Amino acid sequence: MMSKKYVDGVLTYMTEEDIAQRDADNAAYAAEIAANGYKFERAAAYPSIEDQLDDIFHNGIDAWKANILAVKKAHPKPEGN
Amino acid sequence: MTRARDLADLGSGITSGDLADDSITTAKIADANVNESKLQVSNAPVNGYALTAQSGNTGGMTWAEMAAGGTTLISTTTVTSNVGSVAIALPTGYGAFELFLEGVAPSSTGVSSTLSVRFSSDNGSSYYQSSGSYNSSGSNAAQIPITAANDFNNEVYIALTIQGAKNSGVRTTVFSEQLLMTTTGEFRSAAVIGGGYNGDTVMTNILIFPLGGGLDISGGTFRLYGRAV
Repeated sequence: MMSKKYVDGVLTYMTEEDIAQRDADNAAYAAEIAANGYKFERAAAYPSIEDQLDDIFHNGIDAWKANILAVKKAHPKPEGN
Repeated sequence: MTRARDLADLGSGITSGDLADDSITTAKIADANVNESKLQVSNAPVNGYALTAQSGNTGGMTWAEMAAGGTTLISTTTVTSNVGSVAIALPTGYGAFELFLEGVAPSSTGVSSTLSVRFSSDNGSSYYQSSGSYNSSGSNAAQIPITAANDFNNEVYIALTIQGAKNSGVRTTVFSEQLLMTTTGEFRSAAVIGGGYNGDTVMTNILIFPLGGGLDISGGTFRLYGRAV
């Protein structure tokens, strides 16, 4: 089934060039995620700065480092990165 | 006992000296009889101008031009079945645009799904983007995260502010504010990101398309508003 797109409110079919561009975009994005996706995942998983400061205040640097390390291990860098 | 009389009955026998100060009340003025020339305005009227209060001017009123402003709904695109992209024209005559995406749903999602933004169908590498902690250049102006986690409910609300698109002297920038909703209906992952086109090109349209996860947008409403120059 041919893919479609909206252009100025009009539903029309994607051209072969559109589909080729979409495939290229997604391939490039997949490569980007493979290389750097762990950064996004870590950024989303880290506690807020406020919570990290609170963690340090109440539990000390070592406990804070352990919590940060757990996030890093859960979202590891890809091999060779 | 005095009796109110029509002016016609008085003829020319009454002068201003016969009237006490402040004796003419609203009731003594017939309807539709105070025109512009009877107002004490500090300047001459100009068609289209509005009367403004200006306490320092003669009469306390001045005719003034109103600044152009306001927001105009330019177009609405409602997606009800899978589409690979949504392109929306950016007409001339506006200083900035706002594009509201309501309930936009990708056809499927993964943890790295995004909606991406391009201008004038330019798929080159002249774009840059920033999410605050992560900056990059590449082939689109913004990669708006549309998944916070695997329980994302395919529903997202986004407000894009586009500046400089119709100005050949500046770069085109886009700011995105988005809010996601989970399967249980709770709001999650509000975020702001920004990006733009690294050139002074006048843009003719904005293109929204998904990257990662599903290849299509399966639903949602796109409303483009223009702000006057």
